[in-house]
Amino acid sequence: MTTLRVTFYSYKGGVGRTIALLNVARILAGHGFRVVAVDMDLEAPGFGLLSDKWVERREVNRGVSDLMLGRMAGDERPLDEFFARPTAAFTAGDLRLMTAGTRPEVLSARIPELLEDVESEEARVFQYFAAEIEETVEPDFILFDSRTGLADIAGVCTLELPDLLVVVCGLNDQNVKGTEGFLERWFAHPARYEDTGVILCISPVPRDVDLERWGEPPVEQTVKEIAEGLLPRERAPKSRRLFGRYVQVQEGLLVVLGDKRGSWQLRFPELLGEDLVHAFHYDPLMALGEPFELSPESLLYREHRRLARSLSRAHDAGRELEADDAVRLRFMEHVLA
Amino acid sequence: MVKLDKDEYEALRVLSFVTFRRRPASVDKAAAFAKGSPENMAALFQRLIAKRLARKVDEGYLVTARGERAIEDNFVPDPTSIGANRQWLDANTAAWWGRFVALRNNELIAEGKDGRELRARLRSMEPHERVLIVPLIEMGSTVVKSPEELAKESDAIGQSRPRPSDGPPFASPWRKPLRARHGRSPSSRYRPRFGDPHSPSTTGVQP
Repeated sequence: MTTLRVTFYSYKGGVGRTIALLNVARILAGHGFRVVAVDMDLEAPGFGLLSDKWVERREVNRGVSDLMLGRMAGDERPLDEFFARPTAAFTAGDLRLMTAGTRPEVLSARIPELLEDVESEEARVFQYFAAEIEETVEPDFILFDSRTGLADIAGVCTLELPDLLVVVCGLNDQNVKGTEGFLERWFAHPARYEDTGVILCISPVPRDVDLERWGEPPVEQTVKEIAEGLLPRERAPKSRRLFGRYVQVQEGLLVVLGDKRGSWQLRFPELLGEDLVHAFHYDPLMALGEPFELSPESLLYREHRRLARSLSRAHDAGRELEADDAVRLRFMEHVLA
Repeated sequence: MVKLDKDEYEALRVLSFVTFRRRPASVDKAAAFAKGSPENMAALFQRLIAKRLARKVDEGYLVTARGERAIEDNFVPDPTSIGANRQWLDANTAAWWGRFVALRNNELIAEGKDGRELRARLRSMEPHERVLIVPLIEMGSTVVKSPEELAKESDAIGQSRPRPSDGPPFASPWRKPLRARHGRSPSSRYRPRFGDPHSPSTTGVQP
C-alpha cells in the first residue's frame, strides 16, 4: 500500500472535523509525507472558502465536482488543474487541496443515479476518482472531508473510499447518540470493507479552565476521587458533567467499537490504544475563524499532531518512522559509530 | 561513538527525517526546517556519512551515485543490533529514495537513481517483504535538486499517467480497470449508501 485513504466523518457539523483534517494534513505534509486533502462535503463545502492567506487564489476554483462531472463527460484536463495550492503560510510541505469545485450540487444530485446499478461503470466513479489521484500524484495520504449524517455522499466517503475512518464526535446527546447509530449502521453495512480501521476523536472537549468556572474539577481528579472512595461512582456522572459525558461515550461508542474489533485490527496492528481514541480540546481561536494560527504549543495543535502521528503509524511507511527524535538519534549514532 | 558538534547534531535531527521519510525533494524542506540552505544540509549530511565511512575508506571510494560498492560488508548495519529494526523499511518506502541500493539479506537486489526503477522491481515482491535501503550520497556533489528540476519531475508524473483511449461504455478517461488495492475490488456488490443496501429503492434512512 502506497497511499492511505482516510475519511474524516462526523455525524453532526461544527465539531471541528474540517479544521482537524486540514491541520493534520499540514502536519503530515510538514513531516515529509505527500498529502492530498479533498473536500467531499458537497452540500456544505468548506475548502473553497478558505481565505487567500491559506490558499492561493485561482481564476476558476475547480474541484471534486468539476473533476468527476468532467471526467464522466470525457474531459481529459490534467489533474493538476483541479487542485488548489496552499500558501507558504499554510504549509511548506507537499500538500494539495481539492475543493468541492464549482458544481457540487450537480454532482450531489447525480449520486443516486450513479449508484443505481452497482455493476455499472457509473457506480465506480468514486473509485476511479480516488485511483486517479493515487496514480497521478502518488500521495502518501488522501484525506477526505466527508459530508455529515447519512447522506449518500457520506456513505460513499465512509464505506467505499477509506482505509481508515476518523470519526469526530461532540459530547452532547445528539452527537453521541447519532454517532452511535451511525457506527452500528456502518459496521453492519455489507458495502463496508471489513478491514477499514476506525479512529474516534472526541471534539470539542471543555478545557480545565472552563470546568473550573462551573466548579467542576478536572476529569483526572474525578477518577482519583472515585478510586479513593471519596465520590460514589454512580453519583459522579451527575455531579461532574464532563466525566458523565465521557462515561456516555465509553458506554456507547467505545463499547460499539470494542465489540466490532475485527480484521481491521489485523490490518493496522501498529495502532495502539492511544491511537484509537483522541480528544480535541476547545480552543477559542477556532471560534474566531483563525484556527490555522494555533500556536504549535497550544493544546489543540498538539492534539492534532497526535492524530497525525496515529495516521502515520497506520501508514506502512509511518510504522517505521514514528520513532521520536531520541530514538532516531540513537539509531543514527549507532549507524555512524 | 561518533561525537557530533552542535550543527551536526541539528542536521542529524532534521536529516534523520530526510533519510527515513523523505523523497529526495525533501532535502529542500529539511533545509527550510533547519533554516539552512539545501547545500549546507547536503554538505552536513555528507560529513555525517563521511564520519561513518572514514575508518574504512577514503573519500570517493565507497559511495558513488550508483553505489556499486556500497554493499561492502561494513557499510551494512547489523539489523539485529539496533533493536527496533528501524532501518528495515517497507518496500513502498524504498520507492521514495532518490539514490540508493536495496539489499535483502545483504545481497544487492536493486539500485537506482530516481526511485522509479526500484519501485518497478519492488512491485513484484511480496507486499510485506522487507529490504534494506541504503541512501547514497555522491561525494563532492549535491543531492539537492533545483526547484526547476523538481517542477519538471512533478509535471512528468502527471503526464506519464497512461490515458486509456479505448474501452466501452464510459466516455471518459476512467475506462480501464484499476489496479487492485490490497485485494479490494473497485466494484462492490452493494451500494455504499445507508439504509437497506439490498433494496433498489434505498434512499438513506434516518436513525
